[in-house]
Amino acid sequence: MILDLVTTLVVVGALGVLLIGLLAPIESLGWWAGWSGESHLPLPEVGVARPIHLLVYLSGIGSISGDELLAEEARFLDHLQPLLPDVVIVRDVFPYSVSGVGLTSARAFARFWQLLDRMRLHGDQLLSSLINLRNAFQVAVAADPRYGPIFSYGVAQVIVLKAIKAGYRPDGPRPLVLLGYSGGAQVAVGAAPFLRHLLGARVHVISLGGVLDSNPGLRVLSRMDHLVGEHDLMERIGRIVYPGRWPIARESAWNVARREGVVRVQPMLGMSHNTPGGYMDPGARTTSGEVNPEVTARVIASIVQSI
Amino acid sequence: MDPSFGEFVGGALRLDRATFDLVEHSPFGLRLALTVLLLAGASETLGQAVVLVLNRVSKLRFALALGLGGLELAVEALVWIATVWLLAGLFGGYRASFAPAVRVLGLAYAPLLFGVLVFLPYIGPVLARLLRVWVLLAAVTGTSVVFGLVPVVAAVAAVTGFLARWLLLLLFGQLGNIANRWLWRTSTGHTVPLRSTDALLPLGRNEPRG
Repeated sequence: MILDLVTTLVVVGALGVLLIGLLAPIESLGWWAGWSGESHLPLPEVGVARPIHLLVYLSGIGSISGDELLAEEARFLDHLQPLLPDVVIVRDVFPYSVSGVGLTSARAFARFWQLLDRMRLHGDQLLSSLINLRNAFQVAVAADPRYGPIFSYGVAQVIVLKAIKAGYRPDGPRPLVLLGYSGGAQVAVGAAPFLRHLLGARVHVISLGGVLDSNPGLRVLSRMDHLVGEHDLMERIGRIVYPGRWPIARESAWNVARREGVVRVQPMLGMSHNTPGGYMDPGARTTSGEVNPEVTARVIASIVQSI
Repeated sequence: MDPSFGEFVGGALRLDRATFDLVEHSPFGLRLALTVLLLAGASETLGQAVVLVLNRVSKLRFALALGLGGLELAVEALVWIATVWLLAGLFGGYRASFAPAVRVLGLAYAPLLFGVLVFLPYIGPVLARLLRVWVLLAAVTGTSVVFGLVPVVAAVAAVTGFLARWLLLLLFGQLGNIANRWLWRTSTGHTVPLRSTDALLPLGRNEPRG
């Protein structure tokens, strides 16, 4: 009886995961085909804005909307901002949608996602993990050579719009900096060639525990700093599941970028991916006594200042 | 009483010799095999629908492409079955008539009913290869049953048949290309298929490092 129930639950769960996976590329394909309106957004005039240093934050897969960062991520960016007083941090890009539309915004299933968001706020982790699952499949879309270019082109357009609205001027001397946490790093690298094309600017990626494939986007980056926690198991998944990351694939974009010094790996001692002990966990301290988000923010700030 | 469609498919997926034996002698076997081929072809085409969407085909042409995908797989299967049928005698098998071979080896395409899963992001292309290997294993079982060959010899016959089919396609490649182009034009209305990299390469991949 109990075995039957467990079997039924496992089968239903597996079918649910399969369904979410099969639906994952449809948003990007529909956007490209024009099912959901215009796929080529008109880019705003750059105007005469003063040159500023811009950092675009691309959140982890727990994100539900560009308007609503997870509390931990928002607090972390609040730590980072005072360390970079001359840098504008754009924090309202939702990186898991080809058109940047958050899950709780104008969507067919917005109410469902709003419900899951409320459940998450009340501490229900099981069903709300569907948000992570849905976004993880979008990371897979970004890494898939069939869908990735479409997805990345859309996200790049969204980033350009947000960057220009924030006052970014592409002809300034400093590169556009993308800070991608977890799956956000994959999205950042995928979007880089299109950002380079659309803005004509150099692109620098900072990957915070990024779960990354050997994306061709690495070939156009001016640099990527890959911050890896000592106990970050999620980052290791990227090293295992993506064959282009294996040392044997000597000519892969990742290994070439590593050899050329474009990808620089920076270890983050004692840190893991998520709370507890994660890069942004305010309750975790390093051996020096500092809380983790302060250390992470300081490392990122020093990278940005060195550009 | 004959098993149901689902039982036949389930048996083929399990590489069950008894199922292949049943379909060989079933009066509905030919219809069943063709149904499997058409559905498997449509499923595989649906799994590769990215190329249709990328080319912004209409809903009607999309449906047409699914149907023609089924037909294309049926033709591909018939060429393979014919070569295995011709080769089986060389490997010491008894020469069954062509219809039982179609019934059995057509059913062997049952794993491709899952072809729609090729649509899954990232793991889709890997699944596509695994499904083809599954089909090959089912075809080996079917060849062993229908021509009375031991599995190892059946495997050699099936693989040789596959290579012969590949050689035929190479020799008559131009003809195949013309047929493929016709299929593509008829089903989508576009002259040449646009791939995602074709559409977006000029925008990004060739940008120099900054």
